This record gives sequence, structure tokens and C-alpha cells, in this order.
Amino acid sequence: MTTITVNGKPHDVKASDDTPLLYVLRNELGLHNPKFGCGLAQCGVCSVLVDRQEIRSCVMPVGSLVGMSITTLEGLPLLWAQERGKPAKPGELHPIQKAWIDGQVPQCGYCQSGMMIQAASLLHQNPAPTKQEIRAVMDGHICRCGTHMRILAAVENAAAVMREDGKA
Amino acid sequence: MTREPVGETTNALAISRRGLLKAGGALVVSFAMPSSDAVPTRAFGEVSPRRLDSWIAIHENGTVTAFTGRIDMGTGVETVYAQAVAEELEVPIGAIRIVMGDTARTPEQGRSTASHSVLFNLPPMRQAAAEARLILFERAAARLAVPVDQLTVTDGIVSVRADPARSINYGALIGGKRFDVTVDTTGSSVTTQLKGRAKLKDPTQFKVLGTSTPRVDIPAKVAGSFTYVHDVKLDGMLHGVVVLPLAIGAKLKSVDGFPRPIPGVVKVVVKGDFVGIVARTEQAAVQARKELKLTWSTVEGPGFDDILEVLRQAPRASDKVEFEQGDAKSALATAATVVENTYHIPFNSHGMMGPSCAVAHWRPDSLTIWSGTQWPDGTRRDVAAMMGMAVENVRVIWVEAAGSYGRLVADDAAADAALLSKAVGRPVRVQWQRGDEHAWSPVSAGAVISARAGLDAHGKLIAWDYEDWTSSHATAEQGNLLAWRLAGGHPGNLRLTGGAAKPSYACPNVKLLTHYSQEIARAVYMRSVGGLQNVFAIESMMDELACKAGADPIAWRMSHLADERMKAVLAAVAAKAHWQEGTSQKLDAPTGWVAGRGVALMGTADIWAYVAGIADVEVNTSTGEIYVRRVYVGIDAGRVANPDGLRNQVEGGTIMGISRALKEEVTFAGRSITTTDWASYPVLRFSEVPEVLEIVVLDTPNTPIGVGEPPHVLPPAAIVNAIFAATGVRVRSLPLRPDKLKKIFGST
Repeated sequence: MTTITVNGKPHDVKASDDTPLLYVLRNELGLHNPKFGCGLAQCGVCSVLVDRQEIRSCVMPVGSLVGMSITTLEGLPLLWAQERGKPAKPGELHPIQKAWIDGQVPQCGYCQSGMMIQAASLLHQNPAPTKQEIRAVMDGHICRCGTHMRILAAVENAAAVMREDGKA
Repeated sequence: MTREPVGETTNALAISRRGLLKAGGALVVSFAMPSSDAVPTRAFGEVSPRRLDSWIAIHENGTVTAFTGRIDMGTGVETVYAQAVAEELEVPIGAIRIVMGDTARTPEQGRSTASHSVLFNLPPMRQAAAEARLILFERAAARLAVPVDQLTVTDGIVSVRADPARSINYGALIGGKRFDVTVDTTGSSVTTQLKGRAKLKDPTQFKVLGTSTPRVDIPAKVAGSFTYVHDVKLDGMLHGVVVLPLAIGAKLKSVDGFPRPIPGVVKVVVKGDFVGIVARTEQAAVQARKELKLTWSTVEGPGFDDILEVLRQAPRASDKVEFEQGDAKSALATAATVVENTYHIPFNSHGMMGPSCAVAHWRPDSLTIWSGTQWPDGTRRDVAAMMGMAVENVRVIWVEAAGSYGRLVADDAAADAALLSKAVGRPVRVQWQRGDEHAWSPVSAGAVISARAGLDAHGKLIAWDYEDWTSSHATAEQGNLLAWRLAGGHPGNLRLTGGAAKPSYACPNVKLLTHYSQEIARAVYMRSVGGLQNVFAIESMMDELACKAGADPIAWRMSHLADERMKAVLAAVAAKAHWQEGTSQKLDAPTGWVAGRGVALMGTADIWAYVAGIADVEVNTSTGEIYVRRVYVGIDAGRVANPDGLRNQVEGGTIMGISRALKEEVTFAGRSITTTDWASYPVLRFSEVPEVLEIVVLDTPNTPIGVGEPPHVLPPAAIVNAIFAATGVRVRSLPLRPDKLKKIFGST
């Protein structure tokens, strides 16, 4: 049986190793925020972090992820706490999530888990991206409601907060 | 505030006969529904709009639940409904929960479409809350022994004005009971209104409505605790997929089985041309769908490769004169200048980010469906008819899906799930694959529009003769769920919609004619019905006419507008964009590019906001690339219920409009749609969205009207008008893809 680590906890997987990670997360682990959008790695609603790097869980065989650290939207607050070497406080959100709420970003919201995951991946690698860099990195994600302007602003705002808080 | 957990939650009104509840109108019970649950003959109670309890419940703890048959597909109307209740009842937003679109718990209010949620549903939501408040005040007056007019209320606590220590809260006043009063209604379905004793607040006294109350659904959506229909999970639930035909009209000749056994497959279900597979896991269902061998018939007849020509040549359902005044043909014969053009607008796809998904639990005597439908009672009637069940034995529980923009007025997955659940006798979740959604969701109909317009010697518009070849945008609206169509026996839907219904501009001689074809592909309206298509043609023509008249594009439009509100919106957006009056609207551009600015408006509002937009567009004539760098939008939607919510809709509609202008086109080979994913049906990306999107809102003391669709119609016309300003070339067909533009620029 394959064991994967998701949001800091190990999980035994019942599905076969070639099963896309997405179905395991949603149907075995009850983690609903990675969504099914295309099954083709085209839209980004299924994005999760694997060792801090955004990947498309709809095409990633679960068996290839043994020993790696998988993070879904549910795990972003923990990730942020770990990054600062502090304990995670219940109910506290990641600065990216806070920026999403402050900016009233989502409409339907279906794509937004993937958007926040991609933003976390970007800001981990590049804490101070330019506007053009943000656009370039977010380019692989589709939003049909047209919340792009708010997403771009929220990523910038989150980056600023994370740079400040990261020092603290 | 969070939505309640998904389940077959029910309320006292609907199931008091089941003896689960004590008398308590507000009491809400949630129970897990094991799949073996043997409920005796199960008819879901009707929810009478004439009972106040159907609209609002006040709980002993002072929290409030308001019920509406309407749904929120992600535009934020749930928050506006909560604002309406908070406003009239004087309770905090956080104490209010809105239950939407459950046919066993909410009054029937028809389709949530056409941007009319605020226009039609704010009044009854307010009236219900005001009635509740009046009744509670009367009770408080009796309890506190003062006249009603000496009472005041803050956050659900009623007190005596002169002696605030004497107070009682709503929870104590309702005492765990229901109101048990009737109210009068007018209208029905979408237009249902309440008439009661209570007087609504004067809008000048609003404290909650009119403010940018944060969206009540956003915290859960961002924190990750939100439940979409895709996340609904029932005990014993199996996973279903559909296997859809290879072409429109193809018949199933045979199901030839799997080349190898697929572990986990429970059943292959065939009914007419409907094929579904049920499996124990989602991955097994998806794998089985890939591997199942089937033979489909070849479809006879000409292909749809040139779909707009097909549209023009197709047998007609109707040649409908939508509007006529004066004599356009005679006026054209006498006009000093005549402009005649034809515009081509492709078929589009709604492209929901989450493909169609529903869960059904069929039992011998009942059927419960969890669906993202925009029309819960419509889906209920359709599925009941398809299943041969009485409507009262079917319950549809709306759960939010991905944004649907019209597509989910007919929830195909609900029908699939119902058929599959019945076939296996277990709850079944059906989720379409991306190719299913792109190839088989109802299309947004394209159009070929020919317009002839005449100016007199003074450059005044005197004739407008407008012909639109399209197909109805409503064939899939009802009676045409895909599974029903494939299984046979569906009645179809003959409603014709999508033509331009009335003129935007003052002109003495007008004829608006729509040639509706018989159905080519199953269609349903997409964010404005035919508004985007018609405004593209009308506003392109107006720009050409302004040019012929030697006038500034905005000044010329102004001179032909009769409506003062429309004029004010156009003036406001012109000021916002610092529009420089003149016949040339060429702008400075980066090296190798040219740039221009264009304008478009839509002023036929009565239920829709007045909108005008300006786009600044850069064009590379050697590559055909364009970039829409700045967009300005002006809007008058009457009294604004939630300014930030309105802005969010304007932003979203504008970006989607740019996407349709630049990129989107459903294409066919033979009778099959070939744009089956996001690679073949590209939409606007982050690198392509404008740098600047500025909005000017005229908050006018008028009835609130719809904002979800109007701004969406402007970009295509504003962009081609800007391309003309930059290049002197008129582009009259969409989408504005580089390969096409390069050819157009190269040939001029």
C-alpha cells in the first residue's frame, strides 16, 4: 500500500499507484479543494503543492509522490506557520487567503483554490515578483468569471504582507 | 455565516407529517440518509409563496433563515439577499442564513437568469423580512405594553425608545414557533412578489443595502470549507460517467464492451442513445469511459464546418419582425448616405470551470437530486417527466456549481444521475469530463447580422434595417436535457430568443427582423442571450455611420440618444477615459504597434443597466496581435445594492467579453464540435487581461436593474472600433484572432 504525506500527515492510499492524485485527495482523503476541471492539466483548478512547487493533481499518478510533501489549500495555514517556525493557530489563514478575502476576489470560486496554490508556489520562490512575473506565472490558470484583476492585486498584497510577516 | 451542511435537510413545513419535529416553524433538522432508508410513499410538500413561513424563519436564538427559490451562481446575490433581510429586519448579516433553490423548502421562483435577481427578488426578500419585523413589533408592543410606534430595534433586540432598558429580543418573541400568517402574492415564478401589511423602508434610510457588505460566501470559499455540488457525497454513493455520441444526431448502433475487464465497474447503462457507466470509484468510471467500445451511426447530411453559412441556409423556425416603425426600406431609398454591412459572430461555449455534475438518489417512490441548476423547479419538472414520475415525488436541492453564465438553466447531469441511480438502485454522482462539457453543453448560438442604415444630407440617422440570422438561444432551456434527448421522448422547447428586440437609438424608420433557424445544435443563452452578438453589430455600424457623418464617435451617438440616463452614462465614461473629441481616436503606441480607442454602449435597458465602455487597443499589423491595454466602463443600474459586488460583476463581465471578442469560437467538423478542451477553445489568460480596468458607477435613485450581463456585451464592439481608430480597417467578424487579423491587415 502506498503512503503519501498530505498537509503534514501520512495517509495510506487504497487506490492503485497509477490513479491521479486528485481522485485520492477528493474521494479518499476528503480534501475537496483541489477540483476536477479538465483532467488534462490545462486549467489549474486541481493544483496542489508538491514540495512547495505547484503541480496538476489531475494527471499526477499518486504512486509517484511517495516521500514528498503534498499541500492542498487546506494545508496552506500550516505551511505558513512552519515557514515562520511558529505553531499553527486554529482558524488562522495563510496571508494569501487573507488577501483573497480582503480583495473580495472569488465569484463562483471554483478556480480559486488552484489560484491560491499557484500564488503560494510563486511567492515561495520569488517573494517580490513584478507585475509581469505574476502574470506570467498565473498564466497557466483559467478563471471563467473574470476575477483576474483582483487575483493579480491580491497576489501583490499577499507578497507584501508575507515579506513583512516573514521578518517577524 | 456558512451554508448548512449538504444533506436532505428539511423543514417543518415540508415534512411535519413525518413526526420528526415539534411544532416550531423555524426548526430545521438535518439527517443522514442511509441508502436503504425505506420511507413510505414520499411526496415532497409544496412550499406555498402565500405563507410567510415559506420565506423567513426566526429561530429562538435570534438567528434568521430566509428562503428563496432563486440561486447564486457565483455573482454574489446571496449576500444581497442577506443585506435585504438585515436591512428590513434590523439583524446583523452574520445572524442570517439564506437557503436557496430547494424545491421542498423554498418557494418556487423559476429561473435565476437574465440578471434579474436583484430586480425581482430584492422586493419579496425585503417584504418578507418587513412582515416578520412588523409582527414581532406587534408582539413586543403587547409584551412591553407600549404602542408599536414607540419601539425601536437594534440587532434583533426590540426596545422602548424612551426607556431602552425595557427590551425583548426576536428569539423570545417568536418563541420557537412559526408565524403562521398568510401574505398576498402577485406574479408567479420569477416575478413573484409579496404584498403584505408592512411598509418597506425608504431607500434613503438604508444602512446595509447600498454598502459594500463583504460577500457571505467568500470566507468559506477561500478557507476551503465551502461545499460545491461536485463535493456532495452520500452514503453508498457510486460514481457515474456518460459516454456521449461522436456527432450531433449520431445513433447508437451497438455497445461492444470492454477490451479488458475494468475493476470497479458496476454497470453499463443503455437507454436509447444514452450510455452511462456506473463504477465504485471515480477513477474506475473515468477509465471505463475511455475503454468502452461503442459503434455510432454516421450522420447523413451536410457538415457544420462552415457553421455560420449553415445558420443562414438552415430551414427557418420563424422570420420574426421584432420591431418596426416607419418605413425603413423607403427611407433607405431616399437617404443621402447608405451604409450596409454584414457581421459574423461565432458560436461560443459557456465553458464552466467545473464540468456538469449532479448527485441523484433514486428510490422506488422518490428521487432526490443535488444539482447546480439555475432553475431548480424547471430541472425538477424536466427530470420528473423524463423519469415518468410525478413531480411531487422529485426533489431538487440546489448546491452551488462552478459559474454557469446561463448553461445550467438546464442541468444535464441531473438527468444523467437520475437515470443511473435508478439503474443501480444506489445514489450516483455524475460528473462530465472536459470533452463532454465542451462538446455537448448547449452552445451559445452564433449570428450573421446584416444591417443597412441611411443618413440624411445633414448626417442624421433616418433609416435602420436590421436582419439577424441566428438560432434560438433557448432550445435547451427546458424539455431538452441531453439524456432525455438521447433516451427519446423529450418535447423540446420552441421559445425563440436572441434577436434584437428594440432599437438603441432614435431613428424614425426602423425594422428589426430575426430569421430564427430550426435547431442546429442544442443551445442555451450565455451571459446576455444575444446581447453581445447584437451590440457587436449595432455599435460597429454606429461607428461606421459616425465616420461617414464626419463626427466624433461619442458626439454622434449622443446626438442619436433619447434616454437621459444613457447619455449620462456615456458622458461619465468619456470623462473617466479623458476622451478627446475628434474624428480620429488614434493613440500613441509602442514601437512597431499602432493604437486606437473605441466606444460601445447598450441602451435598450428596462431590466438591464445602462452601460457604455471605452477600450484602448494596441495593434501589431504585421503579426495580427492585439492587446486591450485599458478599458473604462460606465454603468447606471439604479440604486446599487452592493457597490463592490457590482464592480466585481462589471470586471468579470468585461474580461469575459474581451475573451469572447479575442479568442472564443466553437468549431465543427462534420456534425461534431472540435473545440473539446481549453487548448482548442482558448480563453483570455492573465498575460492578456488589461492593465487598467476602470469603472464609473452612477448610483441613481431608480429601481435597481441587472448588472451581471450588460457590461459583458461591450468589449467586442469597443475593440473593433478601436482597431479601426488605430488602423483604418474595419473588422466585422469575431473572434479577433491574430491569424485572421494578419490576413485582414495584409489585404488592405
